[in-house]
Amino acid sequence: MEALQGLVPEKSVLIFMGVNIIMAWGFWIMIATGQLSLGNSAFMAMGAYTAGVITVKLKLPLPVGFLGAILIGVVTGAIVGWPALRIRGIYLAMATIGVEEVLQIFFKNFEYTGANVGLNGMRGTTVELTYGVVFIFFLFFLRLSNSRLGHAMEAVRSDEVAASAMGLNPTYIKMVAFTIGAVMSSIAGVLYSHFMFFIAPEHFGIMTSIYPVFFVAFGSVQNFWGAAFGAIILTLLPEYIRFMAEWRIVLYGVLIVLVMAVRPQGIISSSVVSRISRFFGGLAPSRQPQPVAAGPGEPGQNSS
Amino acid sequence: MQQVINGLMLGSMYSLVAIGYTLVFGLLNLLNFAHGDVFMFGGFIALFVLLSLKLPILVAFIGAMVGCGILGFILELVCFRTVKKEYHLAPALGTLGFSLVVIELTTKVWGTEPVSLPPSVEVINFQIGDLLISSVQILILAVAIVLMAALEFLILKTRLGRAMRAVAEDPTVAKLLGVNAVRTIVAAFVISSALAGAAGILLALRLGLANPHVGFTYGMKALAVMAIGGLGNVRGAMLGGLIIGMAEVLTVAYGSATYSDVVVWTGLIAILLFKPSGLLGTKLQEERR
Repeated sequence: MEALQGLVPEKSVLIFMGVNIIMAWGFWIMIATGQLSLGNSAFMAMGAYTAGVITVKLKLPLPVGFLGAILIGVVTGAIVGWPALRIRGIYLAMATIGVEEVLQIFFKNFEYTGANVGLNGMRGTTVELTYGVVFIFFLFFLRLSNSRLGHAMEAVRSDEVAASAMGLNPTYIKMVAFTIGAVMSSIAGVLYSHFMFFIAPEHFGIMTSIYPVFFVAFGSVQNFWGAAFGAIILTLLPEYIRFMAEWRIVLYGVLIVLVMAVRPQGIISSSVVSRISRFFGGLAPSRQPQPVAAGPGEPGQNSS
Repeated sequence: MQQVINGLMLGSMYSLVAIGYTLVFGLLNLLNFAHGDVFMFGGFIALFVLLSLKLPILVAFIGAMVGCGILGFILELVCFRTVKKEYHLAPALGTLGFSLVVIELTTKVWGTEPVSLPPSVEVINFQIGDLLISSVQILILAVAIVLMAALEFLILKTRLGRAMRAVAEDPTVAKLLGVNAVRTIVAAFVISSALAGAAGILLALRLGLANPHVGFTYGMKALAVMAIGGLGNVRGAMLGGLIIGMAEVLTVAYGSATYSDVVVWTGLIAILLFKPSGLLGTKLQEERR
């Protein structure tokens, strides 16, 4: 997904940035409950292909594609997330790599979606649409960080045993977080495919799962601002340092190694966020008045 | 029977790479994502020695092992020693970054396409009954077996091996008992990388080319092999490699080539779900979950 970025001007960069932010958030909400997923490109692929089939093969409008992607995101997220709850940490990372690899092979052999050649004809993603979706997720996270579920997620991440002793249900909370992450990745897939016009299985390889990890690691795992920050900086940086374009992946690698060595909590750690919000006085996230439906079922209505 | 030989060959290569993952994982509980690319780099060192320096294959072997050992040393230095211990994820992510740098630099030097290796081993085919075995195959098997036996000896009989086992069991207690933990960890990185380098040159010999992308294909499968055999368990990695190699070759031979990878990955998922400690997992690995 990164390859075409250097060729086309501004608009595509903006859209890729939006997609990257959503992918980063999708990964972040999983890691926020202590679940390390390295297979989010699988959910992205499911969303991209499902919506692609809906808009290209069935000739239905894009909002239906979004609905389909949300649905498939919930289903695949639950299917992967439910058994995956038995395993954690590095084991979960490997299991999700396994899922991603198997799905990759499936799409490479599935004739209906063009197998190795890929599927084309998807269009409709605009900058406005992308950032509409990003904004909805942004409101969702703002709301979440002060909600019961948000605090529960925080509790589960820091100490699962203590959380369950306090009457929380870690299994349920982790499952919800995993499914939301899967849905977000799936929606990112829809935006991506309907901008790219063409998708093939190799667009959704392991590297596509690893970029969001970098974004989050670079920004910070501690809060969703960090994830967005990482996605924005790491998408824009190679654009503005043109001579680095050829070395962008080396730059990514070196940056990650450096950040991990010097500041393993990421750039925008929670202490930075609270310092910034104190600086702006009344603008603390808790003041956000507009409640938003907690379910991820929103973005479908936003398409134009 | 022919397939069994092929499976053994492929399997022993997976084993060599998986052992590297497992050594580091056993000691540090750290998934070294750069390992697959150290393995890939071994093939390119071999290419450099054989093609540019025109030296014999033995030098290529030593070069690949030493070169990858040095790479492992650097890896430990930048991705592990400098990172604070309380962030569990940080070193693993650091190794991911490191692997990107290794792949990119390799493709900058040698290009993104696989490069053919000059013929370096005289290929003689031995006919035993129905079996056809080439000298390359014999070389691969022999090197793999010798290296694994040497490693087994190192772990069980030497001072360093004892130190490794002590650090794996409990780093704090090991340090209290006078084990130099830092040196032991460096040794584990260097040894695992040198083994990966050897596996890299074996793969290059088998395929006849050095490919910058094997880190992701073979490297990832070796990761699965490690998990199947039992995380942090060296014998488990050996066994897992043979099983996966066999399974893959047999699926290709009697089933369909497209689905040989599916066997590997579904095997991994099944193992993780039903016996997360792996086939030969011990109590130690169970507790680490």
